Amino acid sequence: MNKPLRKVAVAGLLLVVVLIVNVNYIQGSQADKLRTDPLNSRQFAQQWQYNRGPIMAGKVTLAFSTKTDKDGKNYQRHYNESTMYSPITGYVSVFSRTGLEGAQNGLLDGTDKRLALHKWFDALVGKKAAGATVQTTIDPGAQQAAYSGVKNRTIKRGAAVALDVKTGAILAMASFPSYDTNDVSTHDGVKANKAFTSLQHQKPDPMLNYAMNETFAPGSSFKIVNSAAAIESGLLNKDSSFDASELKLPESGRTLPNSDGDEAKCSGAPSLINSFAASCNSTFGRLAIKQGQQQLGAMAAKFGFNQRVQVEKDMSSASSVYPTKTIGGDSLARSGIGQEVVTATPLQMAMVAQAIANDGKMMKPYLVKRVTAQDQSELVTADPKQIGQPISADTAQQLQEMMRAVVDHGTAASTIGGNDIAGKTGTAETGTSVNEDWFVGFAPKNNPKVAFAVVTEGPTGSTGAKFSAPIALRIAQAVR
Amino acid sequence: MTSVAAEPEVQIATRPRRSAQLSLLIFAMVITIAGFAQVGLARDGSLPAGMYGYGIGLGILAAGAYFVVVRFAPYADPLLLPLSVFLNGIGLAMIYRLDLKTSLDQKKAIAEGKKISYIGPSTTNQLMWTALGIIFFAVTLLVLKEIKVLQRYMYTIGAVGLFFLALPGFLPSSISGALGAKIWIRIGGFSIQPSEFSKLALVAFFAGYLVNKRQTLSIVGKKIGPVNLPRGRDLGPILVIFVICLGVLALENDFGTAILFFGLFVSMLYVATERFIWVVIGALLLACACLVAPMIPHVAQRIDAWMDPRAYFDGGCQIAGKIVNQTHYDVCVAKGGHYITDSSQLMFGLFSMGQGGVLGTGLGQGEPWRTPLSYSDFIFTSFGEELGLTGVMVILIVYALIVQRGMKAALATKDNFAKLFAGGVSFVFALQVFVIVGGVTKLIPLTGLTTPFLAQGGSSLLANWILIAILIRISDGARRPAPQPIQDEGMTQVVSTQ
Repeated sequence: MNKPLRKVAVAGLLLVVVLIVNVNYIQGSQADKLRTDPLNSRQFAQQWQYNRGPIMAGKVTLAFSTKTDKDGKNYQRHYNESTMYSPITGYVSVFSRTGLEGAQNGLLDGTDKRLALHKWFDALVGKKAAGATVQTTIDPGAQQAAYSGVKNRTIKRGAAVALDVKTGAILAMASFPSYDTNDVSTHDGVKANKAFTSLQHQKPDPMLNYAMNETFAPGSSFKIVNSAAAIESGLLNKDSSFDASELKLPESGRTLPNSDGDEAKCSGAPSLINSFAASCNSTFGRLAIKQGQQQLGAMAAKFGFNQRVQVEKDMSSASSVYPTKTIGGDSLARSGIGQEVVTATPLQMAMVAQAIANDGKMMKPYLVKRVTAQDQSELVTADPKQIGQPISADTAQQLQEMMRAVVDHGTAASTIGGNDIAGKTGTAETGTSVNEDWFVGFAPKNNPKVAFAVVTEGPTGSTGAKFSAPIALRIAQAVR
Repeated sequence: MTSVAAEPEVQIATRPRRSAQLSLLIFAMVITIAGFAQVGLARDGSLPAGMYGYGIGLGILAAGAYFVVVRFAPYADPLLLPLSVFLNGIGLAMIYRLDLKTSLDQKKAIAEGKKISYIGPSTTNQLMWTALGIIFFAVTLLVLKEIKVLQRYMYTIGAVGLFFLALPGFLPSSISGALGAKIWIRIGGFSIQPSEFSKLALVAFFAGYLVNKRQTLSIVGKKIGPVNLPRGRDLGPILVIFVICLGVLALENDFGTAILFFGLFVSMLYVATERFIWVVIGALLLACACLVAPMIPHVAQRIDAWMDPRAYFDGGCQIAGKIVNQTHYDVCVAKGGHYITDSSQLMFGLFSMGQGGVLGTGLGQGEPWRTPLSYSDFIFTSFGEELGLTGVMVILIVYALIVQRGMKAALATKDNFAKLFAGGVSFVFALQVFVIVGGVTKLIPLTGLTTPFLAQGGSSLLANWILIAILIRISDGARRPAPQPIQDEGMTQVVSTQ
């Protein structure tokens, strides 16, 4: 009986070997994933024990930790200028982690493998690695200009995003209304709960990042995408003349109105660039119908519509929308001027401006420039990535020219004319007493360095040119 | 029996290995006491008062076991006892760590007059069961001089085993039920899990029966294709008992034990008849069982929770293929849904292991108590957290060593009954470790079985100590040199061999 017995002995051994392989898989390769699993509540219970590293913007410290007791068992997180930087830093609370605090948690609290490898001896003797420093791409001057500009201008909600044209780095990301992240990062669960409850009752929601997690009707700023589709398809170039006369909507027969005072410019068949500078709804409504939903939608998708943009791990934007289900002729015309069925996040519109300013090459937006361990060695360095080329360099240059015309002699000339900046205004009427006022563009106008999108909600009669363009100008000046 | 003669001899040392056994035993004790010390230092900041009490208690027991082995089974395998003491010891240390009654904070709170209600593991109980286990171990070695005794009483042993296996299924749930399974017998403050003992009894019965019938089983019978089927009257009795066992276990909702019995049955039939076809038939039956099992609600729940534990974290209700979380059982059934028990325990166990990582948090420094039943069914994940991958690898390797030493005893012994018995219990031991450890590590669906020697629980400890005693007895018999006729000039002695 020894022959089968030996085989049974091997089978018994194999059972244990399978278990050994499995525990190696769980504790060796899955451990990090399990530790940060959203269902795993122990990560929040323990987080105060870690001396989290700071989050920086240039030389400005956005978040830092201090000891709460003499023996240093617990640390309190503090935030500087927290209302201005809340969309970037997020917070650590007893219930959750958001923003970079969540996305970079492992590096900030020192539990990330990259730090452990770095300090293998400390790891072996069970000493906690010191938290790493996260250096953001944010330019403090631009952020200040963006936040205070939006805050002073908007009557309800507003946001601004500025991107580095060449790399896609986020230079500013401001959202209003905002909140003090220090209120929710208390160790006291009852106090934290109270703070959260009070924030949740405020309207509009101060904890929502309007710069990337909310969509607005882009209004005339969407004419950039409309023009891009038309030029890229070869239908027109910037100097082609195109019918700008009054447009009767195909289904209802109603007129698609132009803005007051533009009747002279928006008549006959001006060149595309002139229609663009005057922001003729008639031209772009007609252009949308001529191109069709498919062509316009395809261009919007190439610019990133209908998908989330992942800025950092666990930090993704809301998805901007250009409808994919077939829409009627009226809606199609209105979609060409960014109304009704089209919505976009400020980040999305800034990405459109970035791609145009970068001769058609669209870069992935990112927030973390560098992560350094306590001994200054670099753990992470941003690696700018091109995520697409929605338009050719030639199309991009024509669009740049058109956006310069808007500031030089178009809709933005009266407010920011003469400045070294280019862009497209947008004013979307929402049917309520609030207008979505946009300015989407880049600066300097000839050798662009920064691309931006600013949206503010102004009263009836407010325009992108009046409300948002000056904020964009201040952001652009701050970067330089 | 022709094939037996052709088998190669198993090379084994045939001299007592007292010093090896003693030094290994001391090593096992040192690890255990170090474990207690670390728990005290990490949790309370001082060497625990209980360390000496528990340490000395376990030490005395281990020393007693050592002397019984040396005196009554001198040629026994020197590894089996130290390995068992090691597992029992670190299990005790972990239970001590999880037993809040032993923590200074709680003692202080009670001294200050605070009332504390405590549900959890009990170190004192576990030490008492350990003592009883080692006493049973010694008694088994003392009484069971010859393993053949079991063969003589095999029908009685088999019947008693079956009786106790079936008993909880017929007792009212108030006595036998807990956590969805009816596998206990509770009398007074004590609870016994009879399946732990029935397992040993049935191995003895199968071994005895198969040794008697192995030749008829493998030679006489009808040949259908490649399969040489034994006669009904030869195979019948074990088939009947096997089916009764599975039926009883289904009645008691004890599927972990059913898997053990199945593996036991197949492996022993294979070893006895030397026909691989039994393994093939076993595999086919297992495949059928895998198809049928999801129709049993209790099993289906566990399989669903195993396939996608994250979805059922807070309990789930499956309505038309969609999972609705946090639904109460009654509400779910009223809506026509399929309720699935919450999988949080499994996930907590995995989180615990994730927290431990490669090196673990250190004994007393983690939070294994976050997992429900962290001291019994889930004690393995508690080790995973505090001792890390490194620690659980050691534990698994020690299990593998016990299995392989048992198998070695089976290979070495010349007695066929002992061979089958040792082979059977060793394989079942491996299978039990696989089912429970695989269950808590999400390798297979979770079924409740005790983790041998580690988990809190009296029956399991007693049964495993008896198992080790029998393996030691078999290995002693196998390694004991044949009596040598004394050749002394001028004297003639008559040596009687049994």
